[in-house]
Amino acid sequence: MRTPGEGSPALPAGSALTRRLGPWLVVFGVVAALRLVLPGRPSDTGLVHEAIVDSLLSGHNWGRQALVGALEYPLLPTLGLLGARTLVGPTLAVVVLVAVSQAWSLCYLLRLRQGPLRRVVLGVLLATAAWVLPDFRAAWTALDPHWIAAVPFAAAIFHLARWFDGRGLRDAVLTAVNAGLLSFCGLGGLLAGLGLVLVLVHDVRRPTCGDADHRQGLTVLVWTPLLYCLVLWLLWNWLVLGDLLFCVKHLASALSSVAGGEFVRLAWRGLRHTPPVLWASALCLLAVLSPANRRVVRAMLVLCAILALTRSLCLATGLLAGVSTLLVVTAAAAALGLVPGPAAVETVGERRRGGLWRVLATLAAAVVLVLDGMAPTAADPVAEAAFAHDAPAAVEITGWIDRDWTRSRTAVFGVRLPALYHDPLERRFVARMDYHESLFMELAQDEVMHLLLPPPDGRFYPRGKTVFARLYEGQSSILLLERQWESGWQLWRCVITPDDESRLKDLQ
Amino acid sequence: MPEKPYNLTQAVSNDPLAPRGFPQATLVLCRWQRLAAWGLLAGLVLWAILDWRRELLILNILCTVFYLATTLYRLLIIDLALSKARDIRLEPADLERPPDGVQWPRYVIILPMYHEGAVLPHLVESMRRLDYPADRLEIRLLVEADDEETMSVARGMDLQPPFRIVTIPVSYPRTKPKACNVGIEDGEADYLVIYDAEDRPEPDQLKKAAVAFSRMSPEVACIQGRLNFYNPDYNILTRCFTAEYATWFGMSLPGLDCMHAPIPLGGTSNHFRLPVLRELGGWDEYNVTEDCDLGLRLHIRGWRTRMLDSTTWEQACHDPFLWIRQRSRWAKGYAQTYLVHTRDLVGLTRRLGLIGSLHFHLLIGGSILCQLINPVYWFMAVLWLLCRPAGVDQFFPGPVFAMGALCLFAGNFVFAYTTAIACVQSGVGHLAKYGLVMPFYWVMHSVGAWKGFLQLITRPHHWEKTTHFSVPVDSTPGSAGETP
Repeated sequence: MRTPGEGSPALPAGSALTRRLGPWLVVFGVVAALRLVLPGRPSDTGLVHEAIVDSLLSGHNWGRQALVGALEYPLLPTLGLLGARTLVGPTLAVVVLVAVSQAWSLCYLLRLRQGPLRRVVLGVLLATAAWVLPDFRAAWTALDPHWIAAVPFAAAIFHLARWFDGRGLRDAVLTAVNAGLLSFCGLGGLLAGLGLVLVLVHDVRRPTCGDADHRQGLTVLVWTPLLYCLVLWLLWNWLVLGDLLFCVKHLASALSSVAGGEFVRLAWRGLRHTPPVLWASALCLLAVLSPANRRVVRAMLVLCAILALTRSLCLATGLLAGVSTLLVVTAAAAALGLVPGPAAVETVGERRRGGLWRVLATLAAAVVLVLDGMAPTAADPVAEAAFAHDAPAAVEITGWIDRDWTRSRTAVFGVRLPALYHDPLERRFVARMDYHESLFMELAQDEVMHLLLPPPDGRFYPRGKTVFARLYEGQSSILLLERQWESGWQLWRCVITPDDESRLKDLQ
Repeated sequence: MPEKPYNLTQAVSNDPLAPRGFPQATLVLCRWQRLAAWGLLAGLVLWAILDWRRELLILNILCTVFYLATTLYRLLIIDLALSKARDIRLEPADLERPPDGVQWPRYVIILPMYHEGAVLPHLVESMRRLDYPADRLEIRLLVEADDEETMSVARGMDLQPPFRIVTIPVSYPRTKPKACNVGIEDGEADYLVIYDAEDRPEPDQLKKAAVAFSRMSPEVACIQGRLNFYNPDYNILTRCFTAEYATWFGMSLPGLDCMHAPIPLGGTSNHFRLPVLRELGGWDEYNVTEDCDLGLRLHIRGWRTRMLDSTTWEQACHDPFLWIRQRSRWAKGYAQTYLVHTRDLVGLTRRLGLIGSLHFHLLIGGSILCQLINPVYWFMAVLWLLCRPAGVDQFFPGPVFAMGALCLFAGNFVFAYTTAIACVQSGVGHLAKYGLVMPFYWVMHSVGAWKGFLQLITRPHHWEKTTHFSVPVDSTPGSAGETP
């Protein structure tokens, strides 16, 4: 007779619960505390998310729009930051969010290994990697709210590995739910989530996974969270921005702005700049490939490939690749956790047959890592996200405007620009998500309105023939260029002025 | 009429709220509950006159917090059911010999029937399929004295032992629990199980329950079998009903079992230690969900209920109107049970403990409250999505909006998705997709709940009988309908 838990209370008694959860709480606490005291590098990504949170708390409409409408600054990091800010205040919010996310995802990664000793070894390995390898170090020290994406990603990998090991329904469900949550983490998260779901569905459809009825139900379960999250995302776009597909328009615009040949060239360049640690991890995984763990290893290889391609896509189109980079690092760490994975129980014969291949793959991985350690950081996620270095200061802009148009306001469009010139009360800067001439004209009906435009280099709006590029080139009859900075930034003024503020009237 | 050894029908006390020595649903509300209800109503009206905006805001906050708590509770139950399910599972080898190695314990099956002549032959056939020694078994057909239809069919079948026809004298209240109490006032047995007229238990269920009882600790007084439907694919209603049953019996009850929470019994396939059942006074004949009430009374008196991995196949109601009738009785019964047990709120909390009473409030009171207030929030959500009426914002300040949005977008998903999970876990994976259309099914829940709530005021003891059909309405050849 099987009566799981019979003879003992169903829920672990106090001491049993402490025994089971205690060590993990200690690990979580120690890692989070370490991360809190260690130095971190603030990122422009954090600045944007903080601005969105600030706007949300002020009830500003731009905050709501940016929360759901920006693919590069997705929902989950903003909500995570909002939660952290509510709990610990604005000063520590980003640091706490990053610390908690890193500690939480690390706990998942450590759980990939069986036994305390193996977990300690993995922990030491990861700490060494964070110290020695530039990619790991750069990612680890970045105070980037996108770190929250690592939690569902690590959780999904953990449950996926357990699914391959024991086929528990709970693991399939939690993998699917975490993959769904990843769709709220931008393009990198979305494609990683899709990859996880595809890997899981592929496995679920095997005849060994139960009868047709069971497999049919499992397939529904696996797809549902991701699809639901996507539907929600579109619904929120419709509700807040009045446009179902607003969130993907930026991506579409970025994609269409790059010509085919140029796109391939840029994507290839992006692929070559993939953190070497990912290739090293892939080689390590190949090294331990055996019949016992082939499913989980194949799944990880697929994920690595998806992440590398997503990252190169982001770099080719000029989109922020922060999430992808962090997920690449997390995947590499997870791969280390899976070497040898929980399912890697091999026979001596298999080990001998694969011995040479393993030695070669491990050596290759070591070479890649050594080269990576020697090379300068090729793709620093922080540097990549730094977009504000040449922007004119807000005081400089307002000072300039006040010379002729006292207290006149400046419109800033998009996500990054309003975040850079964050003004929740809209005293001097009016933030809007999307530019429409009619909308701008509406604003200009009541006051003298200025418009600030950054150079068309892909940092603030996609390259190519976008509406901002046309405005930048002066193709608007309602705007007059007031000033252009050396860095290329432009300040325009709307020439349709309100009746009572026309200086021509004074002259008359 | 000969004197019966056990009295489970006659009043032993003058207390109108507990005529048989334990709190019964003879009256809907006790004195303080009546006063509190009128006081609450008057207070709400007065508050509305003084400041209706603030009143709505506060009520909205309370409802939102309640929704959030319900969602988290559901998540906890489902996660426990998935990770630590404790239902008793037995292998065929465990059933080869009696628990004591000598003979199987004496078992009595009671089959309450009222106007069930058409399904009686199927029921008898199902009982004959049970794998249990006939000399250790007694099957009692409880037939109301004025039910000529069932009585004539039963007599015409010339039933031999272990079958026995027990005539239930006509008396108020005319409910199933009253018949069950009459049915167990005499006779000796170790265990008792109750089945409904359309039930088809798995043949080895009695043996499984007997072995399980022998291996459990003595405080386990009841073992609940799983219920499932043999006609899930008849129409969309039976599909949703099956999905709901899969959730309740496949996940919610095992999850509650994990937490040692009170388990509201299903109306059938409850296996009892007969002496314990008699000691408790049997079922409350005034309560229209006497099973739920009995499950709570067992828990309060320190007895435990466990889940058994053995299925009884039932017939899913396929007619929306009949379904609503059945559901209204369940809703009314849950409300009755909640009100009966909260007559002594302090005593209840003392006996169940803080956590136990939280389980009780969320499970019994919470489920009814949810079904009653859901339509209000659905209406508001649709209105907000389509029209964005001005002024609604004032009832949803920041934190309340955040909680409300979480309940709307995540909470509803949790409930629907966990239904899909339960379908897969219970072996009806092809119904998983219907788990996702549950929000439409919940509308019917609310209709039933409101009907039951109104009936609680007008006809508290009226028994909305579930109609059973003589021919199994199974649309899928070779499906579960032919399996049991």
